[in-house]
Amino acid sequence: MLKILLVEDEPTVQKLFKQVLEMQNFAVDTASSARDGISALQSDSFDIVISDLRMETPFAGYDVVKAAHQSPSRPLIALVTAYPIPSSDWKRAGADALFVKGSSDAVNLGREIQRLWNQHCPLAGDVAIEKRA
Amino acid sequence: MAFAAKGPKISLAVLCGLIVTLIAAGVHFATVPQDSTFRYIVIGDLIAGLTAIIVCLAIQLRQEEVHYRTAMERAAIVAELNHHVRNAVFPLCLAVQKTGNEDAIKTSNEAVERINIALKDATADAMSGRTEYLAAGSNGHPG
Repeated sequence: MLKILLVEDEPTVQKLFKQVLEMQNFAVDTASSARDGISALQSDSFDIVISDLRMETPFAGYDVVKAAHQSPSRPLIALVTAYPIPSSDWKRAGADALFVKGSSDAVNLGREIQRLWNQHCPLAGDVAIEKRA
Repeated sequence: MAFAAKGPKISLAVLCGLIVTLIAAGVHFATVPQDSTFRYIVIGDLIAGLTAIIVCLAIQLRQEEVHYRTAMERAAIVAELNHHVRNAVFPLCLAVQKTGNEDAIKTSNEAVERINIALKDATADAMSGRTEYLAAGSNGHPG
C-alpha cells in the first residue's frame, strides 16, 4: 500500500482529502502546516507527498517540496493549489505535478495520483494496483 | 480596454506639434514686423511645436500607464476571487468523491467544468474591461 503524506492547513479539506485517498487504498499521514510536513518527512519515509501551496506563507508548499527532495526515498511530489501558477515555477521548485483545486484533475485526484505514481515508478505502480485488486 | 498602436499616437503628437507651430507662426506673421529678428521668432515657434509633441506623447504615455495599472489591479482582484471560489469548491468535490456515487461524481465534474469556464471568462473579461453583461443579456449562459 502506497504511503502518502498529505500537507494541508485547511482542516475540512484535510479530513475529506484523507478519506478520499484512504478509500482508494492509500495509507495517509497528515500534517497541518509546512513545518509539520517537513518534520514528518525528516522522521519518516513516504512514497507520495501531496502538499498545499499556500499555508503559513504564499509559497510554503515549496519548502515541503524541498524537504521531500532531501528525503532519501525521493517521493513523488504533487502540489495542490487554488492559485494557479505557471508550470515553469512549480517544475523549477521540484514538484512532479500540480493540481488546481476545483479543476477537473482535482475532481479525480485519487485516480490522478495513482496514474502519476505509475508514471513515476511504473513497476511499483503495478504492484500497488495488483494489491488493490 | 483597447490600446492603440504606436504609429497613430506618434502621428497625433506630430500633428499637434504642427498645429501649434503653424498657428504660432501664423499669428506672428500677421502681427510682428518681419525684420531681421523674425527668423528667431519662427525658431521659437518651432521649439513650441516640438514641446507640444513631447507633452502630447507624455500625456498618452501617462494614460497608458493608468490603463495598465487598472488592468493589473482588476486581474489581481479576479485572481483572488478565483482562489476563494476554488477553495470553496474543492471540499465539495472531495465530499462527492467520498460518496463513490458515479452519477454524483459526473454531475460534480460538469458543475466544476462550468465554474472553470465562468472563471476563465471572468478573468478574460476583467483583463479586457468588458462590462456590457446587462446589455448582452445573460452572457450566453443558460440559467
